[in-house]
Amino acid sequence: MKALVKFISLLGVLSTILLNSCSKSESPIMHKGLVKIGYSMASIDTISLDITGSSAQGQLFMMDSCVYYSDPIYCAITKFGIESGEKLDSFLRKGRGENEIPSFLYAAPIKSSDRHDILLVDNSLWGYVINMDKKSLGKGQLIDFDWDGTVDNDYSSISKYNLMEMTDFGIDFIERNGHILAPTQLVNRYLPKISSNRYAKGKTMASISKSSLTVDSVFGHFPKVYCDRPTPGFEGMHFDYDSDNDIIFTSHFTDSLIYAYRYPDTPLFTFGFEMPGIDRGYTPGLDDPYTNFKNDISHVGINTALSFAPARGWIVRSGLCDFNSGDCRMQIYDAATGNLIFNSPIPQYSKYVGFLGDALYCAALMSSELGNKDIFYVYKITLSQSH
Amino acid sequence: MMVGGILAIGALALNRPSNQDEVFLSNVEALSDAEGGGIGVVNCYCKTNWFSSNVCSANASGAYCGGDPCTNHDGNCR
Repeated sequence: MKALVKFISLLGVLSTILLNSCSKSESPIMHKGLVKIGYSMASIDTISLDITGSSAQGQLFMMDSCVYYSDPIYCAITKFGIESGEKLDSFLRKGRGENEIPSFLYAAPIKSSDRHDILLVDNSLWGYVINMDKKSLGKGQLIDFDWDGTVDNDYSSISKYNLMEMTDFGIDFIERNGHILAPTQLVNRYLPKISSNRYAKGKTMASISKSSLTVDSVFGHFPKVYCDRPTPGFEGMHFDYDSDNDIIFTSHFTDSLIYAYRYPDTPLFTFGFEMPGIDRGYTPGLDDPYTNFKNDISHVGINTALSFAPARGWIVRSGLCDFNSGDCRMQIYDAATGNLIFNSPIPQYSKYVGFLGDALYCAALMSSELGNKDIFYVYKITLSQSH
Repeated sequence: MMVGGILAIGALALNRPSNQDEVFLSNVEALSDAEGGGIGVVNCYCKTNWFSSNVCSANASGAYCGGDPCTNHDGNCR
């Protein structure tokens, strides 16, 4: 009997250790929100952006009342009017002269309340803060994670991280007090091995000095979904920031939940419902993630965007449900209650890019051919309140 | 060593047709320019993209594809 009691006690201790060793990154926090659909889609208007003459391998992002096409092959950023699709301006070329850049990985807006800046990242991880009002390129600097080649398990060290790698669906940069907040990626080359400790101890975001592009700190937590189904190839997230309340909202690629943190990473609450039909068939496991990743991306779905619309108090999220079919969905949550108030399909192979006036905008994830033109589609969606 | 490299490229340039001058000039500038590209600072690895060609980048976790600067010649990190 005593032996049995001891065995049960030991089992309990072991279970606690096992549970805590993976879930230590996430203390139990309040989950809230109900399904309270109050809106439906009223209209979808398609706007065609003519990108003929570009590489057609770029991405769209929205900033202010315009949509921008960033071309990584020709190293150019083209500005279009979001209502008309008219080409308004073009900036940068490939090269080493004035307003030229030798390589270009991606560009994304640095969300801020009063500035129109873009962070351009090149293939060598040099960053350029571009002021789009002045159309000035600025001096390029290494986005410095202080890599020194040390291999160890110090997950709190900045040198174990890189910028988030999966940027096929864009990347979020937010300005906060002279710093750029960005999502991060663990650099497996600087870890002894890929272990489950990465989810208990790893960080998910960085604070980067906007003036020097030096990474000052890393913070954040991996959600429990990675503990339950480790998928190193699908680590990453979208996030946005409620500046009035100093709250960061995050949506990780493989997770149905949305997390709210008091800056930098004090958990507040979670909310969120899984998108119907989304393929979560990632190959779980810590071994050889790259091979698994290449097989998985032929069919899986993924969360593709998260954005806070302060005027409405909404959190908008989009997802690619199935790479084969291209089916996509958009959800809207009330940020205060976590209630799901809109949940609808959106055009295939598209993602949410922004909110303007009373309309939500989605953009195609890849270009299309229309006759002899290369086209990127933008979709203007208006909603009506349900009764 | 860098000066020797620049001189060597300069010598090659003398034997090239004039329309190659701009190519070699940009190469010389790349070797001597300490500001752009971060030569020797980072290594480059293959980045798998969903909707476009793979690229060689320091912001990647795939196979090693060369030293900095990260150049991508054939759309598959080579």
